[in-house]
Amino acid sequence: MRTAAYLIKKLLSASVTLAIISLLIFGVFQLLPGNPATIILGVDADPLQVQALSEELGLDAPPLQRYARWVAGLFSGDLGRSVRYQVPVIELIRQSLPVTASLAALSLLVTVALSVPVSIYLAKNNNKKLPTFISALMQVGIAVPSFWLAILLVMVFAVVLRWLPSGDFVPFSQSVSGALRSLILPAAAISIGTTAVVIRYLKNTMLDQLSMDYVRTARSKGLGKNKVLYRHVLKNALLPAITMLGMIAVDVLGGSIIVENVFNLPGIGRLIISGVGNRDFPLVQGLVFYLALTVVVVNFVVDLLYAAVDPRIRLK
Amino acid sequence: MEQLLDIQGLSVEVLNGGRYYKAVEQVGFQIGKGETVGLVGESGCGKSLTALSIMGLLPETARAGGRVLFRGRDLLSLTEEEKCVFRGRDISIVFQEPMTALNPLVPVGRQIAEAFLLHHTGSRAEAREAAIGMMRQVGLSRAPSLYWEYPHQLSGGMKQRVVICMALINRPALLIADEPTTALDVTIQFQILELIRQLNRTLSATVLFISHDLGVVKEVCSRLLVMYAGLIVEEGGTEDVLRHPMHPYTRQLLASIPTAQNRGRDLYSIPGAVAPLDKRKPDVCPFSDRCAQASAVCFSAAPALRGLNGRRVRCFLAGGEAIERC
Repeated sequence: MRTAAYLIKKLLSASVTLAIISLLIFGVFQLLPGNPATIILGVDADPLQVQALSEELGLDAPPLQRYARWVAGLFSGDLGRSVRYQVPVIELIRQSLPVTASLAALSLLVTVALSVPVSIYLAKNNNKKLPTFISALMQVGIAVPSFWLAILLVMVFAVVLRWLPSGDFVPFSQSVSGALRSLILPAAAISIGTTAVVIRYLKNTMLDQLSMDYVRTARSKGLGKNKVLYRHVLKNALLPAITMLGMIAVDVLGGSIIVENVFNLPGIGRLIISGVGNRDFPLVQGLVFYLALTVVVVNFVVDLLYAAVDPRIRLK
Repeated sequence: MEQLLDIQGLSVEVLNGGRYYKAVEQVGFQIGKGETVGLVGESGCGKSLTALSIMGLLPETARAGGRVLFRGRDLLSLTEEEKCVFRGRDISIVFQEPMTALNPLVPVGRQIAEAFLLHHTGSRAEAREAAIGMMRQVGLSRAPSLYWEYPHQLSGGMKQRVVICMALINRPALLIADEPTTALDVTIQFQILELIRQLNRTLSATVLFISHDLGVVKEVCSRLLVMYAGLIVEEGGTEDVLRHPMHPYTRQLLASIPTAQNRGRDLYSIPGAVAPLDKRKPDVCPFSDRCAQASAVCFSAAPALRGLNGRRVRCFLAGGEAIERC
């Protein structure tokens, strides 16, 4: 019962957030100086052309009506029509999303698969030489910018060793293994940094948890150090890490503009560059809404995970 | 009386700023089967370190020396694996803080059952039965539904009962209660003390009861050990020690308990504090700097723990006329 109430509350707050965001997005695009049609076509454009585009974009209607039309469009999945590509914005996002989403999924998978065991190892062997060295290496991982890492990865694995493609995404519809192969390097470029951050964080929360009273209680029952770590500490330490993984997910789902560009991946990041570069006002507006939506959805998922793991939230 | 625990020359050194300091020294005492012994002293006197070294749960920055013989076997010489076998099965401990002693993400019953399963080859269902049975025994009502509740849904007193369940489910020969009532409010404190007393009788569990509060200890213990600055300074039957304290420290501890006699007056507090580890002087009486009776001899050498009228005391002046009254 209390769990259901919690879910409804979270769902409501997500809806309210989305409503406010839609207002903000619409409002900000209203505040942009000048007529979007003029911005798109340039100041030297033929006034008749500007007039025609204004009508096409529905700019001649009063703001409230336009907002209502836009929101109604959001509900039916209609984000307008891209000026540059002359196709519905939703279609462009639909084409780019699988690339970005699989890149995000792969990066998150790698991050979790690496950071959990490494941080367990580091927490277990705190104060020893090798772990201290690894921790120092993590600092480097955090400090290295991802574009440089991306270029380095291309140089080593694509140009010199020729193990993996340097770009030219193969669509999933053509070859799943080909698509995965072309995602390995970009995922590595993203996850090296995120893994380092998560390891650092997770190791510290684990060390914090290890000094908690409940660990001492568990040890006094006769549980060995390792068993205490896996049975009791890990779950408690992963809890705050969920928030962090959520933040990383939002980041990658929003399209890693740099990484997608270095590897020539047709994802959301590339679409953002194209939309902004071409002054494709409906595309940009649609993408901003998409980004806001990913934040809200991921946060909702994080809330669900929290509730699943932590009874203090579920049963409050 | 059959001897259960025999501690000989126990010392605990604590690492602090790259140096080891003696926090517990020359601690030796015996506990017979079925006895309830109190270990008393103020914060920092080494009583918890003593308890932790019996359990083999000292922090990594501390090391123990001497011998802790449990049924004739030296616990300090056991390997970590062997310690995991006796911990929770032969000796259990109840800590001070029930609020944080339980894993917040695991139902309380499961945490009790876990302790059972660690030392029994039984099914999960059997462990649950055992846990629920134990929960009833420590006075937790509606045990079957409480089994599935989480620590945050329980009150402090209930949590401490759960912790006691966990400690007693394997019927250990020795229960160490390290300030089990300090974090609880007074009425709950009394209930928990009553529970420990009753379990000591019904389960014939031997209890080492650690507290800074003489008023609490005298409720449950038949024999008392008083610790000061890592040393045992007085030992004797509870009645004897309370009626005729021989060590000035014990006397001052007694004077600082609120009673009907000193009602309405300011409560006595012992001036000063235990010297920090790096300021302790091994060659004088450790209590000399806070002792009103201290004479020249107290500042010239460290007194030994000596037998006196069937009791033990670490004071030059005990037994003499100088300190008959204070």
